[in-house]
Amino acid sequence: MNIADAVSKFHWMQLGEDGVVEMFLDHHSLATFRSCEASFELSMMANIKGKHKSWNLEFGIVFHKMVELFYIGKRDETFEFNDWLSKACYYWHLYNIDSQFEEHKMYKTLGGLHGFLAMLGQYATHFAAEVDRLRVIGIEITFGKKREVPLGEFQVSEYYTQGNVKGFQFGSKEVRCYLTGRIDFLMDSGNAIGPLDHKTTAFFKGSPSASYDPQEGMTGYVYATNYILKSRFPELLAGRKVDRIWMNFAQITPQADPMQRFKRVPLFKTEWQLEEYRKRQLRTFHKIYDMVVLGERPDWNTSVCNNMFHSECQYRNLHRQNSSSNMLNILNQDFVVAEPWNPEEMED
Amino acid sequence: MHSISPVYNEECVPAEQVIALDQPEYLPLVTLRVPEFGDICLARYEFTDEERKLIADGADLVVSEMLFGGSYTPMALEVTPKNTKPTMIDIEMRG
Repeated sequence: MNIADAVSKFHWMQLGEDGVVEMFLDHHSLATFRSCEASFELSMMANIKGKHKSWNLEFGIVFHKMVELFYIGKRDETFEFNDWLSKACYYWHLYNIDSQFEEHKMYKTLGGLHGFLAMLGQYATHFAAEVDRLRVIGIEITFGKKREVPLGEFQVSEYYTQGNVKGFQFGSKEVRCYLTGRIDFLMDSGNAIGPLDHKTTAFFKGSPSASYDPQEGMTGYVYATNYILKSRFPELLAGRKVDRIWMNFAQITPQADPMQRFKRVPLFKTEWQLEEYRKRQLRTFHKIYDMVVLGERPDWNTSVCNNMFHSECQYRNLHRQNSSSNMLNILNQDFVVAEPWNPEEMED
Repeated sequence: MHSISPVYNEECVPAEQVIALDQPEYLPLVTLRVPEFGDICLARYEFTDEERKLIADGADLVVSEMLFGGSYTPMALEVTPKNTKPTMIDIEMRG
């Protein structure tokens, strides 16, 4: 595919004003490519998505919405508990959690809407005391196409096809890469500034942070925070480090001691870790560029078919088929061509 | 002299690539990349009658390569009849 076709087809590839190719990808897309190139091709290049909604995604949206309203209310001193729970009911129904997931194991473990309201009540009790200690200084901080978080550039030979003639141009060109994403909450502890992220899990097995240390998404949040603050808001950095992300973990499974249901864990990142992270992401960008522009066929990583980000891969059934015609049937039956994944434009 | 196709033989023409097509500052270069043998890139040049006469009269071949800031790469020059395999490939095959 030539560059002109690529930039017209993929919103995450653009030409800068100086004609240089620019790529914009978020952690989810980069991690998808690293997990399975075939999954990346289907989800990010062909925009093929399963018709069936995912509990993790849909419940995650509702839970994050409520957490966001909690911190906004606390920050603005407008928080009203009963009103907050009423909104929880609204979003629960808006996303049709009951009708979509009432047979889902996690729905049953949580206890449906009543269990969710109980969980939120415990959340508010548990974290209310810490709101003053860890102050919200930013909510919904999006970074992306405005080039807020550059990762650097790599060099490529320019490939082209003209009719049956294919080849390269002499010399090399740079491709600039930018991290995209969204920081839900930016917090200030008095001596440090960092993002706050929420993760829900069925129940804690040992330290809940073990699954996220190391994890490129979390490192990416710290990298982005670090870059944005240093380049745009240096005045906020007086006496404060930007070397951590706080993670609030929540168990879906109700606990005898409600206070054991949540844990807040900080993960620390050094300058060296952030620089190594940057170089690794550039390498992933380069591989994605090669797959798009050089037309290299994607690898299948069959070791993640049953555990792609803690769930069965949405394309597992498609890739199990024994003929191209059967694959086409499954594509028509279980998948749709959806809007491209673009976290910058997502409301949630 | 001009870069010509086939670089090796007709069978390999579909694998040929033209470097610098639509890059007006350079002449197009027909190449055959042979990754199996040390990732060699082959090109065949046909001399004009005037150049043939100059060589017959004792002129030399001068090679100029733009490096674009990169390192100089090993280069082999040889004279071969059309549709014959360049010696470099045989050398690589013998290891």
